Parts: sequence; structure tokens; C-alpha cells
Amino acid sequence: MSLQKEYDVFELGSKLGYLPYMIDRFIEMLGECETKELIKFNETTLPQSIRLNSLRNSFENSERLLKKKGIQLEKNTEFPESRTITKSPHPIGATPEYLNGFYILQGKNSIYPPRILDPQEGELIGDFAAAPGGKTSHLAQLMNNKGIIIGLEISANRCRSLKSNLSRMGVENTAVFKMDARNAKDFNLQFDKILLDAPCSGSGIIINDPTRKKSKSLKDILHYHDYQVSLLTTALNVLKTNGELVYCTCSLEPEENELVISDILKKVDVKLSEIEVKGKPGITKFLDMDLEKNLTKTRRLYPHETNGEGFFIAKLVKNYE
Amino acid sequence: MNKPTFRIRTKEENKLIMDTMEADFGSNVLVAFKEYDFWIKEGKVKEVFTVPKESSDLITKISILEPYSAGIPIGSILSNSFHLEIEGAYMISNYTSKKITVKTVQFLYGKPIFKENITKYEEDFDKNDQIIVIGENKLFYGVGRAEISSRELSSLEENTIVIKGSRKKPLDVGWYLRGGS
Ligand SMILES: C[S@@+](CC[C@H](N)C(=O)[O-])C[C@H]1O[C@@H](n2cnc3c(N)ncnc32)[C@H](O)[C@@H]1O
Repeated sequence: MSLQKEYDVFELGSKLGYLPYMIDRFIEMLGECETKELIKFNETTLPQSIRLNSLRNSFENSERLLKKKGIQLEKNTEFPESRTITKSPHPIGATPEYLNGFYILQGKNSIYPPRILDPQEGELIGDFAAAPGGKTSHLAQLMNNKGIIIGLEISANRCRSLKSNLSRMGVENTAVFKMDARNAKDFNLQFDKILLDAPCSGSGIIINDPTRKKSKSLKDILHYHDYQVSLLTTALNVLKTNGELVYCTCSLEPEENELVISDILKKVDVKLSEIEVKGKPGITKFLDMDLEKNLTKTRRLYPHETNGEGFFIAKLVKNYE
Repeated sequence: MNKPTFRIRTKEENKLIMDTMEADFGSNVLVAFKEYDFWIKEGKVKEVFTVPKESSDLITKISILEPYSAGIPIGSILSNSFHLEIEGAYMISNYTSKKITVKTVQFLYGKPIFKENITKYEEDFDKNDQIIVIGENKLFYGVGRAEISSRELSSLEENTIVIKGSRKKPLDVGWYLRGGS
């Protein structure tokens, strides 16, 4: 469909196959003009991006080998491990270099949550929604395979792909448990840091999965909200005092993001930390809701603004025992 | 009480794993596992994982919950013999000269390595020896068993299979694309 003609935003949304309630909500978040930008952008294709894996090869060597194959790379963020593929004569997910774990295909913005958590060698890290392991293996890389990551994943199938990815990437410091992260207290451990890349409705990745334009209702979103609050509550309970937790989703829905954090701020003694990521500050007004002002410390990465997948990211510090 | 399905190796299993690797690849390779404990996941076969000591101590402590996996899966034990698999072979590949270099990617599709595919071998090998397979640019491809000895190489015809491929076993890194796990 040509997007040249100037459609009204609802008309455009309907032509592109969105449920009307979604357009309403995008307008509430972004205004009409930017909603149009977002949904038009969702019709494009994101450039492929990869993360180079220092557990298996130096960045320079991997880059040299890929260049030799005619694969062109561009450094694209403030982080040395991230690259965008600008040209590739080969399927990038099937090269011997890929099979050797020299890199992983991952959305450009997925680099942020592990970087913001900033795990250190020797720490005990929880990854409470781990499969397929893009972020787990990034955490391990940042820790130089030292210290310990406990990766939790509820789905047996996804545990298989998690195990396979971690082996391929040479991740040694991780133990995977097939379990509901809401039972994490059974470990009787206190984690230094936790990543909760929560299961979500995925409205930030419509660009990768257009079926999401129709597949989720408002009721689903509210269901995710409750699930995310319970996961986050458990995670905070098993975090050390002064420990840090990064919460993120690839949803743009405030109920799965700011409203989850807002519920938590009301319930337990945690503090939001500033994070250094370009992107819009978290929303503090949505529909008839007026939320805490410090939710502006959270970040929203919109696809059309970042040329990457949509993300919400918040960093919390636990104050209670 | 149920027997745990993910447990630390017994002394006998430890010996079996180490002895097999030493016999197949030389005593240097044992260095690769110095800072690790082997763990066993029981199932149809016993899967062997190599786990850094620090993680190993922690998993021992949290015995109430059992890992799905930990560290790196390096092989399996079946009928009392240890079979090295992809990642175990990767870990030892820098500590052994039981290696051949090939100029074909076919091995990554579970296909055999023929005589004419071999560009180099670092050490003589006998029939049935385990050999690490290296590809272009020194990339690790996997591990396989020799069908003939290196001494026979020069006298044999092209198309002679030197190492059989395997689509069904986790012996080459192409396994990751064949949906292996
Ligand atoms: C957004 S994905 C995580 C992506 C992953 N962090 C990565 O970077 O590759 C969310 C994952 O959480 C898992 N999950 C859902 N509910 C869970 C629960 N209660 N406990 C543990 N894992 C859960 C899902 O199966 C899914 O694999």
C-alpha cells in the first residue's frame, strides 16, 4: 500500500490493520502526528544488527572475518559490541562465524538492558525471563564469564533454545532453571542484580511481528500488567538491599510499563534511578491517570525515533531488607 | 526420595571422562577442565556439563532446585563410554594437535569429509581416532571419527570418506542450525 496519500490517522491505522483501540492509545501517548510516524515506520524493515561476542573472539577478529566475507558492518551505538549490518551477501544467521558464536543476531535496542544493569565479574545475577538468551549471553560477556548468572525460564521449549544459544556463545557462568520466576524465593539466595525482561504484549515490535496489530486486546494488556507486577514483586524480594534491578519490556503500553513501576513504588521501598539512554522519558499522564513525576526517569524507546525495536526500560534500587 | 536428575559426577564418571579425553587427544587437553567440575544430567543418555567451580559450589548449595542446564554441555555418557560433543571439542581444540583442516563446509551439513577436502593434518591419525575438524580461517567445525588412517591418505582414491558426517548427533556446529539442542 502506498503511504504517500495523507490519510487521517484512524483511517491509516485501519488500512494498516490495527485494532482501533491501539491507535487511540498511541495518540494518547504520542499525539496524532507522531502516531502516524510510528505506524508508517512499522511498515518498514529494521536493519539487521548483531552483537559481537568477546567470549569467543575479539571484536577486531570477528569484524575482520565478516568483512572478508563481504559483510559490511557499522558501529552504531555507544557500545563497542554492537554493529548494524549494512550489506550482506550471506544469510547472517548461518555463517560458520555465527555457528562459532562470534556474534548473535539481536535487535539494536536490546543492547541497553544488560548494559544498564552493568553486571560485574564475581556478582550473583538473576535473569528472570531468560530465553532465548540474547540478554543472558550479553550479561555473561560483560562479566567475562566470571561470577554467576541464574537464568529462569518457564517454558521447556524455550529452555532448549536458551541452552543451545548459551553453548554456542560459550557462556560458562550460567545455570538455567526451568521454573516460574515467581517461585524464586525457593533459591534462598539474595541476588546482587536482577534483569527482568518481562513477558509482554509486544506492541513495540509490530515492525517484526505485524500480527500484533490485531492479536491482543486491552484485557490481555491488563492481564500482562498483573503478571508483570507479580514477577517484579518476587524479583525485588530476592534482591539484596541496595541491589539493582532493570525492568524492561518490548511493549509500548503504559499498563505494562510505567503503571507496573508505579504499583511497585506504592507497595515497596524502592527508588528509581536515572538511566542514560536516549529516548523519551516515561509517561506520567495517561488517560485519566496521573502518575508519579519521577517515572520520567524511565525510558521509552520508540521504533520510529531509534530505528530499532520498541522498548521500555526502568532501573530500580531496593531500599528495604 | 527421588534421585536427582542433575547431579555432580561420581568419581568413576570423572575418571571415565578424563581418561577418554586423554586417550583420544593427549594429556594436554585436561588443562582445559582444570577450573571446572563435571555435572551429569540423567536421561536416556547421561549428558555431561562442565561447570566453573564457583557455579558448581552454588548449585550444590541450592540443592532443593535442580538446574535444567549449567555451564557448557561437553558430551554424553552412554553404555559406560564417554562421547565428546561439539562444545567439549571446542574447549580442547587449542590443546591438541589431533586436528585436520578442511576446505569444505559440507561437514557442517552433516556430510562426510572426503580425502580431497583435507588441506592439512597436524599429527598422524589411525583408523577410529577422534579428530577435531577445523575449517577455513581456522574456524572450529566439530569433531569426528577417522574411517582410515593418515598413512593411507596418499594411496587412496578421491571420494574416499575420511570422516563420516552425522546429521543426528551434536558433533559439528551446524547442529545449531539443524535445530539441535
Ligand atoms: C521477553 S522474553 C525474554 C527474552 C530474553 N530476555 C532475551 O533477551 O533473549 C520473556 C520470556 O519470559 C518467559 N516467561 C514467561 N513467564 C515466566 C515466568 N513466570 N517465569 C519465568 N519465565 C517466564 C517466556 O517464556 C519468555 O521466554
